[in-house]
Amino acid sequence: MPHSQWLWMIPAMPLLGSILCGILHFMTLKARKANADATGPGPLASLVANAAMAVSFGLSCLAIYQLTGMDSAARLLESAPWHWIETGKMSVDVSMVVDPLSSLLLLVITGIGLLIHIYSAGYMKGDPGFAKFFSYLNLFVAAMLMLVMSSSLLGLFIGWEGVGLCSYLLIGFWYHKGWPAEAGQKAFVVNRIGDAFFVIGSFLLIQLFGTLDLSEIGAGVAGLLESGEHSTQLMLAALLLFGGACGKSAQMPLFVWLPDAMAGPTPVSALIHAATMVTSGVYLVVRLNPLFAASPGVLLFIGVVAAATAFIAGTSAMAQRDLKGVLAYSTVSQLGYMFLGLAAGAWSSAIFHLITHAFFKALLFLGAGSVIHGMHEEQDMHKMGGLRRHMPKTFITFLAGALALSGFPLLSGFISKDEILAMNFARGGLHYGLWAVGVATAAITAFYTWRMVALTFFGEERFDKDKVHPHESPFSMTLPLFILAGLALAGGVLGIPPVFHATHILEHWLEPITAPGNAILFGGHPPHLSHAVEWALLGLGTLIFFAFAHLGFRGLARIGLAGSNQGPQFDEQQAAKRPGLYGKLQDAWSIDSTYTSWIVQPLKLFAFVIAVVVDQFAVDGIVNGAAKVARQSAERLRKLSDGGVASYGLWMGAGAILLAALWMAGGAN
Amino acid sequence: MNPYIEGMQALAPELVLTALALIVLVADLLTKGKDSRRMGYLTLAGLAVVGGMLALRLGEPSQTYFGMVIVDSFGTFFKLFTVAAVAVVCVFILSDKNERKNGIGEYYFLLLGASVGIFFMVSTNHLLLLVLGLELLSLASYALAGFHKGQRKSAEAAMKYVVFGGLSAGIMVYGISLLYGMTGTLDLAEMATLAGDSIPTGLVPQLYLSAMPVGVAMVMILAGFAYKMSVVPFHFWTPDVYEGSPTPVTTFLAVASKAAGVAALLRFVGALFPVDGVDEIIMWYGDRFGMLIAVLAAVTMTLGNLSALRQQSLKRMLAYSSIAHAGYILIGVATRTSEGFDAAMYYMTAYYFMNLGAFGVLLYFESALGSDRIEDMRGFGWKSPLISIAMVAFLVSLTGLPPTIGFYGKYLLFKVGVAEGLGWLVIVAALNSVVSLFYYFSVAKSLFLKESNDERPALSQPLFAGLLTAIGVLTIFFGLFPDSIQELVEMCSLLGS
Repeated sequence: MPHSQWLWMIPAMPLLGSILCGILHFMTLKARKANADATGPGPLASLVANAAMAVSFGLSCLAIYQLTGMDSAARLLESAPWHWIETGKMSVDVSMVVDPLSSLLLLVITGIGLLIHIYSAGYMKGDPGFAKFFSYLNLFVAAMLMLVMSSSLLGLFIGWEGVGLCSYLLIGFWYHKGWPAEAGQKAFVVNRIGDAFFVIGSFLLIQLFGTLDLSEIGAGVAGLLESGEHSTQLMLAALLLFGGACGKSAQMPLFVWLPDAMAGPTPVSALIHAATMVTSGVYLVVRLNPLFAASPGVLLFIGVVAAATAFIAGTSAMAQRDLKGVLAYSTVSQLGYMFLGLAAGAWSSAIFHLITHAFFKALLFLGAGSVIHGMHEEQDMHKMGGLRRHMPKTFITFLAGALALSGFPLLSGFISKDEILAMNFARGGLHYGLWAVGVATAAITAFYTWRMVALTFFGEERFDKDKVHPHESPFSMTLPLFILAGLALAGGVLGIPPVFHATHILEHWLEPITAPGNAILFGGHPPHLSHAVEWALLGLGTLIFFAFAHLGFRGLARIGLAGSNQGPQFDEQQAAKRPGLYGKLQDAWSIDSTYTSWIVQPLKLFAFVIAVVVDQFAVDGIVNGAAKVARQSAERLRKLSDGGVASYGLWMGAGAILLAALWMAGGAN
Repeated sequence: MNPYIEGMQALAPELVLTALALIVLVADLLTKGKDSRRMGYLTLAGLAVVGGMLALRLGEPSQTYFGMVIVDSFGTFFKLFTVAAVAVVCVFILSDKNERKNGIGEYYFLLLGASVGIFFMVSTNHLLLLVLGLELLSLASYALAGFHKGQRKSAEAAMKYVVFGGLSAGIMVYGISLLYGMTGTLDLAEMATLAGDSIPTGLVPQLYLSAMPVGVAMVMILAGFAYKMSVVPFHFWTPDVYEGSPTPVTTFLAVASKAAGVAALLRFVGALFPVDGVDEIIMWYGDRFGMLIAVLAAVTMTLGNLSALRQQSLKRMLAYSSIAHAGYILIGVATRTSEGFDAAMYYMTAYYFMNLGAFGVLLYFESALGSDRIEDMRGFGWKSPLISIAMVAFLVSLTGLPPTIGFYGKYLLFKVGVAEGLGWLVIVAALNSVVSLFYYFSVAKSLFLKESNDERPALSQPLFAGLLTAIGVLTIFFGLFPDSIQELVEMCSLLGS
């Protein structure tokens, strides 16, 4: 197969854009230093960054177009390998690969990435760090592309760390406010815990397979299973890699960083903390699906973790007052869904939900950003209300996103969620339990989504009308909203449920990727439900949507709609009625505060002890002492030299004699 | 063909270099030293020619001419880097306004003369030629060290250098004469293989006879190498001479001159005490000789690093740092294996890059600030960011952290050290690297993390800044892609793999 060297261009373009934007940033700083009012060349950055994204998106489209022209089993584009490290037995080749799986993620990353870049041009306008922002954002895209396109686990890890770094930089983008810097640090540290698992898992894979090449690892699993050896190591490797995925994809118990990550600018939340980076854990599992399929126990463990995550985060979203807080917990909960799909071996369903979620959650975040932008940086929903009159475009598109998220029948979110739940139902056994939690979470999702919509857009206007004048956002921000709204509504066509007798495009497309995992896990094809059961499940989903969306909407907004100003008071009533529960939910089941008091504080104490007692006294004492001794002896030598160089000669002579003695030491032969 | 003509052809680079030195000297006399800049450019052009000639010879099989001069890839490797280093030093001289004043033609003549010495030093197994090359290098270096004639420090440096140089050369030549007396030859290859018929000549019979005199001779010769490489306890001259000499000269001494010592030592150890395929007694004493070197390595790196810790002057700090690095390189020598030698060569390459860069930055600060005190560089990183970022790259590399060439070099040395049973030495070296982090990064800290209270502006020297940036980029580039250097080293390997 000829090499497609141009694939390197896909990540290289945003990398180049990042560098150029960085240069623009420094030029801006310089211009501003000379003249405080100067704008400098910073505003050009959005053009550069958008151009880079557009080229990258175009190339991704070209790649997927080339793939469609190939035989379904042989769909693969690969650049020439880059022999990166060659030392001893270990050799690492990295090449850029586009296969059915990475092609989908390419489209999501560059496509939604482009929309978010366009949106950011409006959202970040006037920010002093405008060019810096685009530099980080482009760098993020480059790293994310590296993550999904790399043929080697090491290349993937570079991307993995790169996106982590950019996430940190962008969460703390407004570091001068204080808490965003802390949030960034928290995200970084928590991710580091996951990364440690990831790295150990990678070492284990090197030991098992002698390579880091992803396709070789995937192909090697079946052989290893047949030989019946190393099954414990396989399981351990899968478990460790899932630990890494837990960190990046905000699963229990490492999800605590994601709600805090909302401190970053909203486009960042949309791109990194909803659509792309947080889904890389899902990508990792699908990429290595044979490895995970080989350890059903690990899959079940993933299912339990995912169900717990989905449920806990979902319930937490119910009590949030911060608009972005709701979306953040919702994202954690939806990521739980994706892993729930993986747990059932529904690899393509997880990817399906990843894609639809990217559509509607990016849309919701961008809509929320538009609201926050129009409300002069207000995020508290209790201080909003009635915004549908002021921001009609944002309202309509937000509604589309909310419908998709909460599972309005036949919209994208409904279909992909149903597929995951149906798969768990079809697996039976313990998966019934997972299914039940998933259904409960679906109900919760409908509830909090419509509570959010009601509080934000309906009811009385609860803001200070003298100070705040909500306004619709500029075209550059509403355009992406409309495009994403279209995708959120229609995204379901990628995977029409089997009961409608249409081809499931996505499942078909991913067949070459998922086949090895399916062969190991199911011995062929995954189980299917009868049409009757399918219909019943679809009906159940519909029923749940209407019941709980109604509950969420009515419970709060009916009061508001009636004209009185009681939306927030409903929250307060609930809080008063069940103070423990409400507070608990608002605090996300107090998991974060438990970490703070049981892990973070003791660690800080420990660090303090190390820093002050061990380092300052013991280590510094030794180092300084040694330096002092060295200095003193140097001083002494210097004094010797004052008398003349003769003493130097003495030392040299003494050294030579000592060496001769050493030669003789140990006795003659 | 006439062996004489053949030999002359083989020695073409040396001849061109010698001719170049003479041309520069004469041309300078003819122009009455008025236009020394042109001499610099002439030297650079000539070095480019020599470099090209050398590069074409890489990979050619080893041959010996006149029974003394070996022309092989190992020598060519060091010659190439010598040429590059001297060229960089010339650019230093050309760019620096203080040096330009002093930069009369003799500067280049002496540098080229020293280079000729190095060329012969690194391409012989014959102790006589080795001493001649060493002396040629040393004599030129003495004059170079005292090049700032009016300055007391420079004069003192030259004085000390001469005294210690003379002393060590004396010790070394005495050792060589002892060895000659015992083995009956000055050729190392012959020395290792001579069996001796009626009277015991050659190394092996001598060792069987009595190891003591051989040991004394060996230690004395080792002292000569140790002096050139500034290995403890033969390093005393180093800080004073490095500090007193003009900075371009210091660069030359720290980089090219030290590398010549390393190359000669590698040849010496490789010829007399290779690790495999030799007589039992050579193995026995080879181990002991390796142990001597290992002990020297441990002492050298530890003393060098500890002394560097509290230096106020960047120049003196780099002097001690170069002592410490000699210790690291000795790890590879001590293993006496092909891999160890390769690792030492790789580290030498890294050493070229990071030290040429670091001394260049030092020179830049000296002319911008008129001081080499680390404290005076506070906040200067923001004024000349390009050079300072390059400096950080050099410091990272000197410490031995990724992603720089210094990291990979240390990695290779440590790897081979552990593989050859020198684990304890590797631990010492690793601890030393940690110590070195402290003083290297105090420079970076001073450059970027401290407020400047100095109004002096950055200097605008595009050629100089471009050169330093290029070296900085290469320092990182070869850290990311170590293979190309590795291949070069393997091609030029002394003991073959």
